[in-house]
Amino acid sequence: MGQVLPVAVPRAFWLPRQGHSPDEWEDAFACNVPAGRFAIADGATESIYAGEWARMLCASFVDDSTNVTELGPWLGAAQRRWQAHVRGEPTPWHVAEKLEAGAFATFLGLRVEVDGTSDGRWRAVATGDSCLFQIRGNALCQAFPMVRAAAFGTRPELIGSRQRARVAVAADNGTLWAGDRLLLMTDALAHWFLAEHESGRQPWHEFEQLTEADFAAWVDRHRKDRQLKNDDVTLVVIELGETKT
Amino acid sequence: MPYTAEISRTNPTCLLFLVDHSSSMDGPFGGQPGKKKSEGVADAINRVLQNLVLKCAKSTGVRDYFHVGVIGYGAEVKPVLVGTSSARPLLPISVVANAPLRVEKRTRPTDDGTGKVVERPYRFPVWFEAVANGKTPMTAALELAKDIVGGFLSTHPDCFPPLVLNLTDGQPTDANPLGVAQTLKGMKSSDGNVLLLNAHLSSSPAAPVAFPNTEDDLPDVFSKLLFRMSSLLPTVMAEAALEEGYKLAGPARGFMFNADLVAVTRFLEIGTRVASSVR
Repeated sequence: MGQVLPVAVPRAFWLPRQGHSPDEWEDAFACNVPAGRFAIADGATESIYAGEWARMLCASFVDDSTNVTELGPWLGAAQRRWQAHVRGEPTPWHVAEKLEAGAFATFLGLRVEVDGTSDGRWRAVATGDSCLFQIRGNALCQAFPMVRAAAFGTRPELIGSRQRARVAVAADNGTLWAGDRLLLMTDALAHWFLAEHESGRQPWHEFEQLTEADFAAWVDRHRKDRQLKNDDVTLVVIELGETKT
Repeated sequence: MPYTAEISRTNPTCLLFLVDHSSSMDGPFGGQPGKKKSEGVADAINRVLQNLVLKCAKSTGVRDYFHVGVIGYGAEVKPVLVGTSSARPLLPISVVANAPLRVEKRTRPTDDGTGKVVERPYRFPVWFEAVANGKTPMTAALELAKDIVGGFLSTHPDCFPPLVLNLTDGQPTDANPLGVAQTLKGMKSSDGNVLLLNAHLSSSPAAPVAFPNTEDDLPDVFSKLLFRMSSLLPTVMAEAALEEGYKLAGPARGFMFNADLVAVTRFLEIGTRVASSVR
């Protein structure tokens, strides 16, 4: 094991579901590299202002500085921002009805702790099926919170923008070595990733040297082959610096 | 595999409700003496339209995943959804959303987030009023449905197959509807055959028969006729029926006999469950 260097600049890729315009993409991600905080979220299509809610969750999380062992003050901050955003003009009955229910999203927040002198550590919290995969060398070292492709369903746990009841949240952590890669994905891609891994393949190789144009073509091909559900797709690749001698 | 087409704005599907307007609909449901069948059905259809609108509503507008119509059959056989006409029997769901007859304020028991149940107001749009007048010209209604669905299929050849949901409390009075029902079910898009679902509304307190796979246990010629008219439930609806707690024995038909108000509401929910696969 070598010395852990600071986090490299993360690379992010996203596409709306086929047939939707880019402004209808309702996933979100945010990165605060100096703070080592990253987030990814997937706004629930059936709710309203869901993309905004996903973005506010991610932004609030990466701007926060509290520990990542449970929900933090970032959740209340995001809820206040969303509620302020939708407050205002009279709306048609269907918008008003859905605003009262609030927006919903799955969410994963990650903190990377590296100081350059010892093993690093990651800590993450998650609600629903937005996922973190840790790749070390040529192996999937850890998957969180989903560990099997079959566990994906149509009704993941969600965080609501007006939720007062307890939020179902999972937390985990692990060590970080130089050269480790952390992949954040929303559900469609994460489901494909786990299914590929379960078939004995090493799906992380697909994302090495990826450009935006490659990603669009790759997603298009996998949607056509029905390997990838037609859904919003988001990927964030975080690479820990290479070993220095 | 049939019944897997994505429902999208570029590839919408069609939902057509056929509603018995005959005089007997003025009578109460078997198990609920205080509730007229015509009013219960109007409530149930308004509720299902509301749910469809809410499925499609986003902050930027209502997405046209569905084209919707209601045919009433009694003294007349005609499109009765507000805004529709013989020339335009179906409306995009966005047009339906923004033009209810009125929006009523109702209340329902709701968990306040701390486990306490409180009465909360909600908006109840009304598009469709109760009617009970005349005989039961079901065959004519199915003929009209066939024309409307045919028109939709000619412009949407790859759609999720159109759904026709028929709600009736009586026997057809014009002709045997089996032939036209078979023709309707024989029409198809590239994703499968048109689906015809039938619910018979109960005037007696007998227990409902839901989604049977055989006509052997049905009591009379009329119920067996409706059974034969009904499509087999595709997987998406069979799964919805199981989720609602119905036990299905083998390939189930989209048919309910002796349905009370609760059963009609669940029938419509299951019959429109395809809405959950909108993109």
